[in-house]
Amino acid sequence: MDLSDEELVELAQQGSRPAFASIIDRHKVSVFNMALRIVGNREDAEEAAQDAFIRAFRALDSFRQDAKFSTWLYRIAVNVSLTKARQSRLDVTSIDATMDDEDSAPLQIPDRALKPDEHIEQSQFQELVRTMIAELPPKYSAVITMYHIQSLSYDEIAETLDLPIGTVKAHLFRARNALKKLVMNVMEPG
Amino acid sequence: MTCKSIQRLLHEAFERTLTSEEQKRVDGHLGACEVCRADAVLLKMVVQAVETTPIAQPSEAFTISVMDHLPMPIRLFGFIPMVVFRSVMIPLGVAAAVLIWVYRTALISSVKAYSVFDVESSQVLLTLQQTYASLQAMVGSAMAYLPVNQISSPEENPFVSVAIAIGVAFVMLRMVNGFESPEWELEMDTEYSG
Repeated sequence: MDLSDEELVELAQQGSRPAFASIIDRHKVSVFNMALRIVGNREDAEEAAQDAFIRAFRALDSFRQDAKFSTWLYRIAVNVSLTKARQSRLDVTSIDATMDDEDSAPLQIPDRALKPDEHIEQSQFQELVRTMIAELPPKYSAVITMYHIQSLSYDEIAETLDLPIGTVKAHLFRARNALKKLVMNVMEPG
Repeated sequence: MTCKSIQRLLHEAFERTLTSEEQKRVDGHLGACEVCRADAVLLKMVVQAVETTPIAQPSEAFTISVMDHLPMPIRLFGFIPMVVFRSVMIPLGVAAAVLIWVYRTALISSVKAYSVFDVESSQVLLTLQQTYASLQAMVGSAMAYLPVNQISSPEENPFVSVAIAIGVAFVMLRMVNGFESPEWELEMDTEYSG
């Protein structure tokens, strides 16, 4: 019989390593995909996801069963991934400035514009969009991943990111527009 | 209806079904505004691309790799989990320290009463003094670890818990005793100086 997250956590808190291994197996794909969309490459994503689980293990005693374990774990994963993304994007103008003052701070457009004679197919377009998620400011990558890829609710995202629901909605609105803008700039340079 | 309000509705359409009235307004505006129409098409394509993102798999060795990097299991004598250790052993340790302190005179007298120790009573006292010195050293360790952070937390270092428990108990006992040296220590001093 499959144990619930809460039961596995309780066992892990009592020192059961197999229980924690089961927790990893259960959540590694979600955590890895979340990290991948935020940091943008497999190597960093794998590192961030592993780091998230190690941090979760160390903080396991502080987890209280009144919260949902997956939300608690995602919060750790998002924070680790955001830190990693920021570290690897230090060459980009302040991400926080872009987040706080979205309208005035222009997004950094990566230099990968298509040449005029290049024709973009649907699969290429989809790949382009997916790649561009990681080019967004990290918190935008996080909300767009959680909402549109992992199908989390506003409540879950708000709890994970420790933000009011209104802010989550605003981030999501801006994230979609920013992503659209990035894609448009690549497809129609200049 | 302005382009901006249409934009809002286009985004809201990803989260909820628009009312027939709202849908009518959006359709009407898109029919007349080429910019918004192109924008709506691109937005829909972008969101569709995001939503059909294939699920990536982490490496096969992911779980093993994480497990290899976890701190060693915190168990006492190989089987008592740390959570039990902390909740049971520390209070017991403190209680034991209190009892030993309270009955120290009687304990020393009983140790001395055994003939086998009589001949080596100075050795027994020396051992006691060494234990006393160890306790003082543990107080030092406890003090060093008091600003406990994530890295030197009891989860990773069970000796931190032990040192803190013994250290705190020791300091409390010394306070109760008015920071006077215990009788056996004075006895030792007299013995060595004499």
